[in-house]
Amino acid sequence: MKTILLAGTIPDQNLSLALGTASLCGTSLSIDGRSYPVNRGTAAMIGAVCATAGFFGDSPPECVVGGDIGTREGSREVYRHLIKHLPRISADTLCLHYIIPDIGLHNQVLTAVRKMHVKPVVIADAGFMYAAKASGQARFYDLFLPDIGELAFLADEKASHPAYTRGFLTRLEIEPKELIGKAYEFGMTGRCMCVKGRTDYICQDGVILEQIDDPVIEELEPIGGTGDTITGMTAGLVHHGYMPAHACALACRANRIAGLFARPTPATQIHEIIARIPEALSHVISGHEVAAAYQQEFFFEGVQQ
Amino acid sequence: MGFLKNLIGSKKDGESAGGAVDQGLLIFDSVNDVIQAEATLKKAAFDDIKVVAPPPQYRMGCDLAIQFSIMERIGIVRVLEESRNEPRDIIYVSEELMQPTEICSVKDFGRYLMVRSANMKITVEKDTGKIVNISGGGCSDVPYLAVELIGKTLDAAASPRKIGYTLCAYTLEIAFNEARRMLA
Repeated sequence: MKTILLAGTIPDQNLSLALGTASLCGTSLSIDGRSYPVNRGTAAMIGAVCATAGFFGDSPPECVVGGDIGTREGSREVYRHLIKHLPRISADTLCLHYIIPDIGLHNQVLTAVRKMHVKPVVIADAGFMYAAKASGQARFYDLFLPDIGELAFLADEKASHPAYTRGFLTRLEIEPKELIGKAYEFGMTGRCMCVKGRTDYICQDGVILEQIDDPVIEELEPIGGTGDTITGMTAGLVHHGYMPAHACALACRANRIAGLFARPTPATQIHEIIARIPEALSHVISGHEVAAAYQQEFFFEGVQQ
Repeated sequence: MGFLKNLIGSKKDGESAGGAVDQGLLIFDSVNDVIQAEATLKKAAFDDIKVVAPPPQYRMGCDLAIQFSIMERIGIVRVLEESRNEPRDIIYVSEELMQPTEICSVKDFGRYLMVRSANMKITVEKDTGKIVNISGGGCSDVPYLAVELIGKTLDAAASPRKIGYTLCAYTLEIAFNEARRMLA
């Protein structure tokens, strides 16, 4: 049976490490017998994976979640667990998410991934993506999912965190294509990249395969977690069998449609969007032809096994 | 005073292999320690200090350091000792170090205003100043900051740098202050 493994942190000071199968129940997430609110960050990402897996009837995700409000302890628990156990875990998809970036521990996680019997599709977003880029090992990854501010960070070869991004910010909305080119040129992104924004850019090997800008739901941008739901849906779609870039395109469309169905305001909370994911996926998948660029052969061509 | 022995002292004070050096760098164990030290030093009128990215050999991935004039080293060290927030290391630098962005962009949603700084966004209701959403970021205190801030007004909410721990919190504070300034 195929397995998807998700790793990240949630803001619970009483939690050291939660391990186990996740399930979504209304506005709460259940892992290892405990409930957590689905507000944003890793909880929203896991919620979106659960909704996607439920839509397809796939196995629910397995999770490694540390409790961390920024003090590093929970993040370190996650890193250490992955370093110790990944070589013996069988997973087809590995999605790494909110965490305190730690280059040294990140590199040990990559070593553990390399020891896995079969390399999974490795997806990074949020803090794990920051660590991956800062470590100089971004090319190891199959997929990064930055927003437009994080794209500026990936495109700046000297920046070690998005906070240090130099003078690109004022050009973000104007020249994302230039920044995408720089991120690939400097080797600062994974093989595929999904840039989440007013226009979503689906990229692979330095080529922009598709731009998605319809429907525009302006109110989604301020809502915390709308990027996390794209990441979660993408991971769920990869777990189901879609190629990463194709999964990104479907997830970006479904996120917009879920937003449309939720009739959001800038004050809407992410669980209202997650509740609409199944009907949004149904809407998007039934109407989407598989473009040639997303065929399996294209993704695996040239991949080092 | 124990930490003073950690000075990277292979170079003479005020010199480096590349020539004259007049800048020192305070290295701490966490971003939160830097934020506290910056506040302490500014309060003590060390106005010329700058928060910067440490050089690569001192980076973990989410780091800040404090750059200072080595002419002020003794006074700065004394103030930090008294506040019990001593740096892990003090090094000398001659290179230009990156500073966190201070740039903000603003998007008007009619009833709401969204302010973005780098990867962090805060959205407030204009009439009440109530924080209705926080998005962006990737460090693990971002969801915590959202829980602590959403639903409170900009005046009543704690400063992100006071309750946060990471560069994302540091960056959110810039957007937070800009929102406060715009709605004042």
